[in-house]
Amino acid sequence: MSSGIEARVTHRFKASPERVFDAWIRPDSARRWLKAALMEMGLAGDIRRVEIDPRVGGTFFFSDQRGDEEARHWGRYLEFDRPRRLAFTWITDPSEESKLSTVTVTIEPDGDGCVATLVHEMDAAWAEYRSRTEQGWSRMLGAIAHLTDTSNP
Amino acid sequence: MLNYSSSGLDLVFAALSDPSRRAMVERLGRGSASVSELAGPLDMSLPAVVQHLQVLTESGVILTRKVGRVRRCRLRPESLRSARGWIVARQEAFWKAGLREMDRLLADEDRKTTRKEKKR
Repeated sequence: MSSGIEARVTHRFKASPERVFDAWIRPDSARRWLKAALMEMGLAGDIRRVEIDPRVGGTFFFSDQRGDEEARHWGRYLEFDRPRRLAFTWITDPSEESKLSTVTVTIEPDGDGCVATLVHEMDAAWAEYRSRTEQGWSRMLGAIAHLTDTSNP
Repeated sequence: MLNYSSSGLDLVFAALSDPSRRAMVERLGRGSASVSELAGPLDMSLPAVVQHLQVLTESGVILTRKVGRVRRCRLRPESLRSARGWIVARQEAFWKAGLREMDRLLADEDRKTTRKEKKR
């Protein structure tokens, strides 16, 4: 499925897989990690809404204030296998063009803690959102993915 | 933080922000083409096509070359690869920061639990 523009990050935690899994779906934790991640992007990280319905098919909605604009991030849980695996669509609309992507978090026990591997497929096209992927940003990512793959040395 | 020339990338993203130019780029992904071949499937005047090609050339996304009386265009894939690298690096930085903060949150909770246990 993936033609792949893919971001991949791993992090080792000194906490159990259950606690790390729950950190993804607890509203108080989401507020904190999202703020930190947005600040890394040079944004204020002024989080407003955090709503999470933690189950397969459940949705989440986050927003942060950027000047006069409320930027939205939302998605749907595609896989929900506590404490091993969590997958969700990740959609943001900081601009007029919407992006569609999926994030999969795999959590493996490791000694007294665990290792979380996050893979963000940035040009994923899920049937549910096919019409959305026809829009600008996704199309642009798709074009970049396709052309850089076929022209790799 | 990231070692990508932002001015060059701005031009690439601006060039790709237009659907007609993306159509041209996708067509060139299948091989080089003349200006009229590129204009064929697009519903626009030749001067408009030429203007789009100029934006694509200035951004470094394509190269054009005159062969006899025909101007031919081809893709410069390296320009797209740097755009791709930038997108990926930025998204990885986003999640890395998020995971680091999650780690801090859990460590804070551990410290609180330890303090409570000591009080007992």
